[in-house]
Amino acid sequence: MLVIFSILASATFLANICIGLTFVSPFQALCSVLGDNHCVDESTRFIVVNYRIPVALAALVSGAALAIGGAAVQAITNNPLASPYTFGISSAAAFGAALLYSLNISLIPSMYAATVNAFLFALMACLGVISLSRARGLTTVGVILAGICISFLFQALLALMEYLAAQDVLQAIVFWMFGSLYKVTNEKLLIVAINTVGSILLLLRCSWKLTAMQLGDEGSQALGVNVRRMRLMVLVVTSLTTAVVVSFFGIIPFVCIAASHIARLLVGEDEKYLLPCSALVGASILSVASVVSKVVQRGAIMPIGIVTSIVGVPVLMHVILTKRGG
Amino acid sequence: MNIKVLRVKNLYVGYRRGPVVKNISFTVQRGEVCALIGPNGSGKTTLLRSLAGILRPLSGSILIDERNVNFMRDLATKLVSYLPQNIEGAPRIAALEYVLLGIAISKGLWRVGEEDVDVAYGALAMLGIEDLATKNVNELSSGQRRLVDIAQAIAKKPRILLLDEPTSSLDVKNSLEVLGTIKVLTKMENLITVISMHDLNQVLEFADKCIVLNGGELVAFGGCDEVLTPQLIEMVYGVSAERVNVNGHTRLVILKPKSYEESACSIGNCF
Repeated sequence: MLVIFSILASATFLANICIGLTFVSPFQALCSVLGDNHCVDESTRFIVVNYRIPVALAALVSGAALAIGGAAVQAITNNPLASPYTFGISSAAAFGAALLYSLNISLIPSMYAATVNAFLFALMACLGVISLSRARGLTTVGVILAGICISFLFQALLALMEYLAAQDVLQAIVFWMFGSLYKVTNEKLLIVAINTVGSILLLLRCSWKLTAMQLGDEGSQALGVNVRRMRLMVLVVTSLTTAVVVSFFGIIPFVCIAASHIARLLVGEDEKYLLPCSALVGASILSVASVVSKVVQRGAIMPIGIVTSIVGVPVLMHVILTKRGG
Repeated sequence: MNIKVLRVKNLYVGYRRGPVVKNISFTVQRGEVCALIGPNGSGKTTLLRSLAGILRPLSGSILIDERNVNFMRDLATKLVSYLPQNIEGAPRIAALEYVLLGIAISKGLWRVGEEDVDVAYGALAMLGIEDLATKNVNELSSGQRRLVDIAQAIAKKPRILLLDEPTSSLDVKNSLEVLGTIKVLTKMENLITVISMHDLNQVLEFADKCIVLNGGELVAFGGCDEVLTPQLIEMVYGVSAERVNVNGHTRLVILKPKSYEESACSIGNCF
């Protein structure tokens, strides 16, 4: 299964490079990467190297980051509907950006002020969830309730910002909230990639313990898992990873939940297979969504945040209906 | 690591509302099966959770070879295998992988080898359920699941085995076979085994020592034959019992509780 998912992710990555407003053949894409000017013209090479490859790589690493976050959070909360987004990270990040656009408040003034604001508020949401759930002993219910509280708080604050904003500012806020991989830069790509690979390795290292956590607190403690420590570690890792993706590329819904569910239906609930498969499915979903966002509207690129649900829902429904969890 | 003795001294364990287990002291030697008995709510599970290192004692001490468990918590989790009374979840993984979980958690992802898989398979075979190895845990019956849970506890190769009502969902034949296997394993491997049980005849058959709890307090501790007297059973459970000899084995016949007869009479159904 891992091999099949790797091939799928590679194929969608290649398709994401080749397909766009103009079609680039895989051979031309290879020539562009190798810097061979005999088989590809300069403008095509420029497009491939500066736009197509960074966006395709961003789709891969962001999709993997969101998916593995979803799978790990579902494991520690024993709740199939939980994801880092449940903890209000997306609404907190959007509120951070909205604060800049409507009131010009920047926590750390810089040329990436909206991104920095979004990241810092996403971190605040993470800290809020962790502090609140610690007060309840880091239980499953405590973590989810804390997440819901923080999520509602930032949703309300975001709604307030939108209500108070002028028409043009409101447009800017809404546009920021639409996830888009075209906000990618080399620095952002590097940070997201390091963050994603680091969190995948860290979570994989604990994969046996994450599998054991599906036995409930008593069952996993009996196997020697320090439940509180695991929950705290996963909360910190997944929240940070998701916060980085959301603050850089905006809100990309559905991947967190859909990828882990598709992977679970196909490979079961052993986390040492589920985590890498979720990452590969997430990478594939976001790559396909990126391709669709380029072709669905002639001459324009649709925000990927809108496309992920449209692409992902039929795939998830198909897998649920044909596999039935057996 | 060979362990000689598990010693509990003046132990108080409980939750926020106060102690559930009060001032308990006992000693179990290696190679002994010790039954933990008492009515529902008498503190058996609380005591086992404390011995397993899940619940921190309010006061008193749990000593493994005279070393306090609180000071060697990580080591204790490797030495002790605990099977809870109820395990909530049933992940969709093969039974063999499930048994392997117990071994793997202490080792880590990249350190699990073929020999660990053999140990896990051996634990299933010991209980006669190797045919379940490839079946998903979430598809097993409650009895099969319990057997796989027991295999998981054994596979960890503990020095101290703590089992909370291991035979609660097993039929008579499987109950006897499992208890027999645990007894043999305890003797062969020189383990210290503490089992919470309700069937007093199974206690007489398989346990060397008995810890009797009532209302969180230790009522009696010692060899099962001496401890399980009709007087003690009447005092702890409120039922009458008689000891009978069946083919040279002492057995207990439990008679109807007085409260049952009184309530039956009160509605006009005296027996």
